[in-house]
Formats: sequence, structure tokens, C-alpha cells
Amino acid sequence: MAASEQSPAEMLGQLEQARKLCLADPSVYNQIVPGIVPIIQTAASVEIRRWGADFVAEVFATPALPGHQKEQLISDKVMELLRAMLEMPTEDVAVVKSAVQACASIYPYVFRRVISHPDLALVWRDMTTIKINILQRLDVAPVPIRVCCIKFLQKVVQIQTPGQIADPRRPEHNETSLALVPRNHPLLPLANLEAETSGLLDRLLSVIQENSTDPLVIDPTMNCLAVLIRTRPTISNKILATVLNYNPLKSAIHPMTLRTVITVRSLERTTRALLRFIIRWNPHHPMAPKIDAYLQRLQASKTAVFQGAQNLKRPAEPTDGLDDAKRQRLQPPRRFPPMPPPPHSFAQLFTLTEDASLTQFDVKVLPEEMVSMISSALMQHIDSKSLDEAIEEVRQRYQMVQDAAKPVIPAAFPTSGDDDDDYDPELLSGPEHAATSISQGVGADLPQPMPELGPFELPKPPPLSSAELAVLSEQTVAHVFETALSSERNLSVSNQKLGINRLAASANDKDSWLTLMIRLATRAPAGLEMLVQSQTNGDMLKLELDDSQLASLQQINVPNRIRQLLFDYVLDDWHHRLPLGITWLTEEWYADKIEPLAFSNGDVPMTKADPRTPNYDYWSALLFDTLIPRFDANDHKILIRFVSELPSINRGILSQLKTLTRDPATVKICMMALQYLYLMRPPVREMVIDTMQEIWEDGDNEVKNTSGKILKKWRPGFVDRAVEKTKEEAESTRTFPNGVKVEQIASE
Amino acid sequence: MSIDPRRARLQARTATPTQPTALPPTVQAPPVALPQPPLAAVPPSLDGAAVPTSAAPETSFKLKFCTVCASNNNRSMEAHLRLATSDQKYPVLSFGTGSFVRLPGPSISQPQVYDFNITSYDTMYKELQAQDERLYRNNGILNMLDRNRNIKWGPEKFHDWAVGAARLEPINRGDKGSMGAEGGVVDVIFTCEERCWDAVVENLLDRGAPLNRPVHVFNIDIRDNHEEALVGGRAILELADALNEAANQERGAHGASGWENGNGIARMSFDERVPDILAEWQQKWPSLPALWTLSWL
Repeated sequence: MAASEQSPAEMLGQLEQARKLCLADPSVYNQIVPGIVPIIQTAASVEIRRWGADFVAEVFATPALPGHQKEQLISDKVMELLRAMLEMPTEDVAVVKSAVQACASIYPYVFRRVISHPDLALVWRDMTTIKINILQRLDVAPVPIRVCCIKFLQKVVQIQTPGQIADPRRPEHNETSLALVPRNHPLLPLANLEAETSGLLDRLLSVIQENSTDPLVIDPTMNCLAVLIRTRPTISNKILATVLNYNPLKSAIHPMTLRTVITVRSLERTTRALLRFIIRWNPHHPMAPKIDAYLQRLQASKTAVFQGAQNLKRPAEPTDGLDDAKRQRLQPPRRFPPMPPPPHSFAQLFTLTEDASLTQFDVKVLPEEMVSMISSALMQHIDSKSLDEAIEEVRQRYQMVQDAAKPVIPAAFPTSGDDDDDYDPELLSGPEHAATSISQGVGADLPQPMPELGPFELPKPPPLSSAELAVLSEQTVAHVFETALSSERNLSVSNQKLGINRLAASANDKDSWLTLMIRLATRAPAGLEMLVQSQTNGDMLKLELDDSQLASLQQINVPNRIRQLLFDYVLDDWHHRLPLGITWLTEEWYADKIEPLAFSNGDVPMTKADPRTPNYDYWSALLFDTLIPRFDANDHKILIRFVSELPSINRGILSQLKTLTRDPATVKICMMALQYLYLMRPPVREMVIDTMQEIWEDGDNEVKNTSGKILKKWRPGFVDRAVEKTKEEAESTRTFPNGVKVEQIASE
Repeated sequence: MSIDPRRARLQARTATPTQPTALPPTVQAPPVALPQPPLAAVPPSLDGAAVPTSAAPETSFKLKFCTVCASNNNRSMEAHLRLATSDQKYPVLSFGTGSFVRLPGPSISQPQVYDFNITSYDTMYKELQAQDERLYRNNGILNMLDRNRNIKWGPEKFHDWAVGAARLEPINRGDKGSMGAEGGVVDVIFTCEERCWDAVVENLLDRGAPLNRPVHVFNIDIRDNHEEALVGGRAILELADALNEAANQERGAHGASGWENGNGIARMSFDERVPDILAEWQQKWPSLPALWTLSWL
């Protein structure tokens, strides 16, 4: 076989024949492999070396050969061959790739053989050299080799981590793992192997930890982790935790090229496939809830990412050219340019083209015969349908000109009956809003001119009175609000909270409509100029608004109307709509902060922003006042969320919160909310402590008891002092009228 | 073994014609471990290998493909045929991921149900022909089965595929696309439905990658009807050709000293180019949404 004068092609033929023999009967492997190894080793041709590397990889991977027979195939020669392939500096990529594959397959058998034969130092030395060689390639090798190196790494981690011992009495039935290595093995020191493995695992997971976005690294890594998670309990949690921190959608930045879309989808689906596999394999896995949550989150952000991107799902109708015949031809009817304003000439009546040079062409310069020749030739070839269309158009134009010749009643008022406007508040708003029909009947008795009168200038509408304006704006607001609420997608379904950064009109869903409404209400000119004036006048300290300013907040205008509707809407189902309320109030607060700055034309530096937020204060107080009586003992979560997410807390809100202590049932949630504020909102901490103190002072015994405990922590000594004081007061009133002195002591 | 109730019902109905028409047991005899049959099969393969080396050396290396759909009948078989009978004559395996082979029956609630791996296309063909030739001729099932029985013996289930086990029997039978796939491994898997892609990827995870061999798994979404299968088969062949060309370029460029000579794209490895090739292909076939991952056999 080793005849060197043979051409590579002939040799390949023979080698292939030998391979087929092995495939047909696995028992001949142990005769053929030792014969083939030297041929590959000495072969100069790339083709033969490629074949050889593939063959060795196949031999140690084939399921047809039982493990112990593969162990017997391991020899110094085989190890040498693999080493040579890996160590040759100019080796072909395909050869190295297959060699690394073979190494990944052979590693368990070498490991197992060395466990039972501690004298095989040479083989283990070769294997160690190979291991180091492959690990060095991990970051620098060309992609195909790198991919196989990842698998090798995973295999080494798998083998060098203790697995489950199925049956200690029959070691041949156990899978190869660190658990099989005896404590005092001369070649395999347990401690070293463990340390090495932990380092290798970190290396394997590092690409995920770094949140790499290269699918050629992430996909193979993810796809080889399943077996580790499943069979190596000691490291499975670490691996899962790493995977759960991975964000496959990181590279999804719009605008995405088709390649990015494919890459992102690949990463996302591969990660999801791994996690779903784990859940299916063990639904009661301790990390199952986390995995579920991760998958849900992934789904949501994926929807958000691909919402704007081009839809890769197949269109409802196939778009390839095959079934053109099935599709209807939908050609729009021909459009002709309109006639110029009157008066009209016959030429204009018949001119159906917009081509200026054609319209200026005078047919009279042509001899008559030629014209008749051309037209008769044209008539034969003309499409009868388009001719009909053209004739019809001219007929209509003529009709229009005739109608225009009739006496026309000058239109002094808007012709409400034939108003072509898309928007008709009477039709769209409910009956309660349709009460006043402002312009109805104004011109109804007048004879209506025909609609096809050519260009017609609508006269200017009479100016609206302020009452009409109010009604119309109310109708408009109500209409838009209805549109918002009837939009398909629910607020709670929205996938991603974009917060203040969202673009109001980015989508046609409820969320964006409501955001639009909120912004209309809050960002419209809100009469905050007065703040600027007062600020420039220097009376910054005057925080209370005077009556006229307050009145302007309650004035009926469009923004306030929207606010009122939002308020009613939130109140309607406040348990579920409170998030919307918070969003709204946040926007109010933001607008209050921003608007005075805008009016001041940059005179006031940002740092000296006005501390007053009139709109926010008014509406937050109103909402809070209205809601407080409705909270019951089970609403602690919602209450805490409310007070924690409000953009600013003031004494008014806290004093409202205090009223909860009047009802024994809600004392607890009030305390919880206050404690939360104390812990999580340091800026209002003083106010919270004061409020707690007031609660203690006003409350009955039970409330005193609860708040006293908290106050002991917050304001040490206060309760004792106060108790002492009341005691002494009581005593003094009971015994001697010596109160003056006692009071003085207490107040110190 | 659990029996699908619909299947049990159908078995009672369809058992009778099976017996006289076909004798499947003769075909499903396990591969005999005799050295003679494979040896007999070797010469043709050698001839086949010798011709290209002398006449057309460009196709000496071919990627090995695998096509997967639900029942291994319509979409995967159309693609199987396309790939196996293309100019390159790719090695192809094909599988189904369903629990049973389901074919449309007389009504939507009465599908024809068969077992994977033990029923041949020929058996199905004869059975359905005997049952209602007019119906199955008109809905295209008989034509499809006729095509299939000329490609390979019968539908195979992906989950029962012993990866890496020798596949000499199909070569002896002369199945299309079996030449070159005798090693029982593939480089690329095409699925025809996202469900199948999920099933394949999950099954590969479950197997634990015993072969340590990378495999590209693509999904090309094709609707399950004859017309779409034709279109999809064409599209898959196009993608396969592009992938194969890239793989061959890699082998050419990376040969003895080729790495130094190649430049630009030719220097990139096959694996690296897969996302680009797929993106380019997707642009051409926007109606067949594609999905891809790199997994392990």
C-alpha cells in the first residue's frame, strides 16, 4: 500500500476501499488502522493528509466501535500522528481541523486508558502536549479550527469534571470522568486536574461572559454546553448562570443589515434552544423559574427589536414569479390632469396631457393628408379602453364647463352640508358631546351649488366664539382620547418600558397614543411664564402660588381637559392604570421643570431651576387625595410603588398618606410605605420622619405603639422624651401646678 | 409501543391490501455484516470517483447534506432529489421529525398514518393505490410517493438516525444521494419548517455531540404543498451550491501553499462565510425566511 510511486488519486482510491471495508465490518478496524497510520504520516500530498485526518476522526467517533476497542487502537503511533499534524507549522487548515476533532474524540479514551494503565506515561505526555497545542490555538486559529477547539475544550472539561457513577462495581459501564480517577494516580493528580478544569471552564464560558456577538463562536459554544449542564451537576449552575446573563440581542442596533438580522436571530434562537432544552429535560430544575423569566424577557425584547425591522415571515401572498396568473391585476385607473381655472378654451378642454411641448405643438402646420393618415393609422392601434377613458374624461369636463356657465350663488358661508372634510365631530363623538352643533343650519337653506364646479375657494369661516372653541376642543380631545383607548394593543401588553425616552407617535398602539395625549397635556404652553417672571423678579422663596395663578391651573382649556380625562381614566380602574398615572405625573413634573427654563431664554442657569412644580403639585395632590381613601390592607404593593415612583414627594402628599392611619386596617400599609420612603428616598427622609412623628402624636394607642417602634430607630430618644413629657404633664396637672418648670425641661 | 388511535383505526382498514401487494420484511432485513456486499459495491464508487479526477477535478470535494421535514415525504424529499440529482450529485440524507408519517387522507380528520423506518414508499404507494386511486392521484400523493420510491427506500425519522453509523445498505440499493454519505455524517442540515429546526437542534443537544463534528443547521420555511416544495427545493439547491462553492474555495485556497496566494473572500474560511452566503441568499429568496445555527453531530 505504501508504494510511493503511486499517484495520490490512486492511493486515495485504495484508502477509500479500506475505509469501506471498515465501515462494513467494524471488527477490521484494529487491523486496518495500524496499517494506514504510517501511510498518512509519510504522505506528502495534502489530499492524502486530509483524508487521513478525516479517517482518524471518523475512527474514534464512530458509534460502531465499542469504547474498549477504541482504547486498544490508541498507540504511540496514533498519538504521534496527531501531534505531528498539529505541530507542523504550515499544515493545511482542513487537516488541523479534523485532527482537533479526532483529539476531542480520542481524549476520553486516552484518559480512560491512562486511568487503568498508569504506566502509559508516553501516551499521556503526548496527549498533554496536544492539549496545550490546541488550547493555544483557541484565540488565534482560523474560524474552522477555532470552532473545533471549542468542542475540544468542552470535551476536556466534561472528562475532567466528576460525573455520576452509575454502578461502582462495574467501572466499564461508567462514563469516563474525573470520578473514575483514583486518588493516588501517578499521572493524573486530582488536585491539578480540578484546578486546570476550572480554568478551562472559565475559558469556555468567557465568550459568553464577554457577550460576544459572533455567531461562529457563540453558537457552537451554546450548542455544546447542554451535555455539561445535564451530566455535570457540580458546574451546571455556573454554566446556566453565565448563559442567563448573556444578551443575544446586543448587536441588534437599527438599522440592521440582512446579515445582522440573520446573526441576531441565530444567536437568539440558539440561546433559547439551549434553555428550552434544559427546561424540558428537567422541568423542576432549581433554576427553572429564572430560565422561564429569561425566556419571557428574551421574547419580549425580540419582539421589540424586530418590530421595526423588516418582517422575515413569509408574506400572505407568495411573491415569487410562479403564480403571477393567480393574482389579480390591480392597475389604477388613469388619472388626467385637471383643467386650468376658467375661462376655458376648446384646446384646454381636450388637452389630456401635461407634456408642455406637446400642448404647444400646432397641428395646423401639418398638411391635412398627413394628419388624416396619421390619425387613421393611430385609430387602428389605439387601445379602445384608454380611448374610452379619455372620451369619458372630456365628456365630464364639458359637463362641468356647462354647469359653470349657469348663474352661481355666491357662497357667503361655509357649506357645512357638503363639507368634504374627513373629520366630522358630530358623527364621531358620542351623543353627549354632540349637543351643540355650531355651524349646522347656517347655510342649510341656501341652494347648494353643484360639487363639480372646478376650482372653488371656500370663504373664510366666521371666527369662533370662545364658547364654541371650548366645545370644539372638548369634542376633539374626547375623540382623540377615544381613539387612544380603542387602539388595539393594551398598555399592559407593551413589551418594553421606554419611559421618558420613548417617541410619542412611534407606533399605533394604545401606549403610544396615551403618551401622545400626556405630552399634549403637559408640554402645551402651560402658563408657567409667571414663574419665570416671579423668578426674575427675585421672589424665589415664595413657593405658594397666589389665587390667580391657582385659578389658571383649574381653568378650562385643552390641556386641562386632557388631564381631567386622564384623571378619570386612571381612576376608573386605578389598580391597573396606576402605572399610566405615574407616567403622566412624571411627564407633568418634567414639563414643569423644563418649561420655565424655556421661557427664560436661557437666562436662568439649569442649576437654579425653579423648585416649584405647580401642575405636578396640583394633579399629584388631586390624584393622591382621591386614591387614598380607596386603598385597603392588601394594596401595599401598589401603594409602595406609587410613592416610590412619583417623581417628587412633598409634605402635602405625606400628610395625605398620614390619613391612612385613621383606619386600623390601613395603618400597616402606611407604615410600610413610609419605611420604604425612608430607606429608598433619602431626600425626603426628614419629611418622612416628621410625618411619622406626627402620626405618633395624633394616633391612638395602637398606632402609637407601631410608630413608636419605628421612631425609636429613626429618631432615637424622641419617644422617651415625649412620653416623659406627657407623664410629667399629667402628673403636674394632677398634683402641683408646677407646670412651667416641667415644660421648660421638656423643651430643652 | 403506543398506538395512535387514528392509526389503529386505519390499520384495521388498510391491513388487508398490504399483505398481497408488498413484502416489506424482505427489504427491511438488517444490514448483514458480510464483507462481500460492500466489496461488490465498491467498484462502482471507485469508477464514480475516478471519472471526476480525470475529467472534472473541481468537484472532488462535496459537502454532505441532510434535508428534514415533518414526514420525510414532500419537502425534504423534493430537496433530496434536487440535491442528489444536481450537477454536483451531492451526498444527501433525508429525515422527518414527526412522530409518524402522516399523509393527507380522504378527509382532514382522517390522515393516512405510517411508521417511520419500517414502511417503504413502495408499500405506501401500493396501499393507497389500492384504496382509492382516483383520490390519491388527484391530490398528488401517488405522484409524490412514486417519486420518493425512486429516490430511496422509505421515510426515516431524524431521532432514530444513528449519527456516524455506516450507511452502506442504501448504496447497495442504489438510493439517490447515498454515494458519499456512507459515513453517516453530514456537514449541513436543511430543515423545512421552524418546528423541525427546533426539533433537530434539540435532538442534537440531547445527543450530546458524540462525534465532535460541527454541523450547520439551516431552516428554510417552506409551506407543505407540492408547488411550494418545488420552489423550496430549488432554493435549497441554490443555497447548497453557494455553500459548496465556498467550501471548495476554502480547500483550494488553503491547500499546500494556497493560503498565501488567495486573497479577500477566498481567504475567508467556509464557516466564516456562512452568514454572508445566507444573507445573500435570503435577499434573493425573501419569501423563504431562513434561520441558522452551528451545532454538533
